[in-house]
Amino acid sequence: MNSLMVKIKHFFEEVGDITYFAIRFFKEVFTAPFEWKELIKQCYQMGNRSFFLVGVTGFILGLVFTLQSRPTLLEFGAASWMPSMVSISIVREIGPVIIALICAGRIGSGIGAELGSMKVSEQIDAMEVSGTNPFKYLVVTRILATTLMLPLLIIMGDAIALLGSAIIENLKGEVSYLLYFNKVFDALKFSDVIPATVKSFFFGFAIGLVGCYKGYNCSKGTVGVGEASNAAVVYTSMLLFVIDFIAVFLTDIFFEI
Amino acid sequence: MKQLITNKHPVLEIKDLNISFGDNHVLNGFNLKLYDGENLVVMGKSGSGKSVMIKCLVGLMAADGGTIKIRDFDIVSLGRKELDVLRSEIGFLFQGSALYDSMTVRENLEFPLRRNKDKMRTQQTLDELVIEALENVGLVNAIDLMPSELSGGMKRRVALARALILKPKIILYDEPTTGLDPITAKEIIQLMRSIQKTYHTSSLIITHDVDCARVISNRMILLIDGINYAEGTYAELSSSNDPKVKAFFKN
Repeated sequence: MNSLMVKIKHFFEEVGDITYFAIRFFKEVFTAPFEWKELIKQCYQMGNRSFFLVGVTGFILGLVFTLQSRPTLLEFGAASWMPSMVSISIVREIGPVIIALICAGRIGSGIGAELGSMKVSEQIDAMEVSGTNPFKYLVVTRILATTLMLPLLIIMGDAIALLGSAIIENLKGEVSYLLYFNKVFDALKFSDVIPATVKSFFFGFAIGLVGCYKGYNCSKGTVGVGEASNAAVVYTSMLLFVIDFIAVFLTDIFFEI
Repeated sequence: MKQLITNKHPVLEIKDLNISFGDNHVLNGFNLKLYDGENLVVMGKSGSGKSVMIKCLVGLMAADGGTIKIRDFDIVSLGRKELDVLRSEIGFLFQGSALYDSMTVRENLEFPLRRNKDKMRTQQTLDELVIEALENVGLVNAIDLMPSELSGGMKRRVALARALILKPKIILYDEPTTGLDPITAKEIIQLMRSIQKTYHTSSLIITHDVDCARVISNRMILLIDGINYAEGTYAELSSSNDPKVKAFFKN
């Protein structure tokens, strides 16, 4: 019982600390000096280096989803609904969540490990001593980069997933690519695209925030670096589902899905 | 112990410094004065609070009590901007070198200059400063290498060059020879001496390396039980009959 109380207390302390960390981010993001060069470098690294992984994941997602759904739709004589069903599912939900989870593993753990190792090897202290605000240089730029890059990666991943789906439909159902994408664009509405894009910004913010928080507050030497990297992925994954739930709930209220 | 008598004005002064971590009182009223142009060595056992003290000097850690004055500025009362200006006059050599892993040697050395625009007017000035600093540590050829391509001794030299790039008035060394083989350690000590002569700096050296202290110090402080237990020159301290002081020089 006592151990449970300690865990609950620790959980709320962690939530408090991460909230304070986020508040500090919002305070620092609007004040000069702005680290444009580092921001562009981080955007390039996170976007460019995740491009292939997200592309492959999206492509396989579209392929598998279509292959798995086809027999059931055929059974009901609803194979013509395939483009609508796949596009709405991928754009609204599956694409953003799967790609965000992939990025949490790829980007979030990378940030946690990088900042963690910088912390334990006193590189962050060295930055502070040299007159550079390490929070602004390391944390603000990384959180901004993930917030800006994740929507782009998700849009790209969704598009590649739809291409994968179109290939299967073309091969198995002899549906032309033109017809497939016509049906996709007929089915998709702004009320599908906008909430999904808005929530992808929050996904990006969560990945950057948790990765930076865990890395920046890393302790216990090299063991701590591994823990920071691991915790960044675990915490971000949980947070992504919470954000997704809230996003779906609000979308239901405002867009009547 | 006989206190060094001097009429000089201290460039760095610590009064009644107190630092605790929970019930562990690391420093209990530690005092220190660093005079212009001198090499002051603070020696103490591992975990005696030497590194914590030196981090307080540049505002990396907050003390629980006491005052720290650097060139008459109380660093506790300084805002971030003023503290950064003061930090540009202090070089800091970290125990593990603390080179930025993702940057080349050149970028590591340019980094402290980015907030000192008066010292980096043109790329040419920047290059000159970087090359001059690397020449002082004998590593010009390593300018485009990554830290992972350097040996431990080379890393320490580059870190020293980075500490020197802003031509500081005070240099703080946190265990400058720890983790190095005896020959490289001697080279680093010689380098520290030559830097002191070239740049006319005042140096505060934290170490538990008796050889380093013997060669480099003008004056020494022994940090025992959180206070400056003994103070004097190397010769005075090494001939002391106090058992706690003797223990440092036994080997």
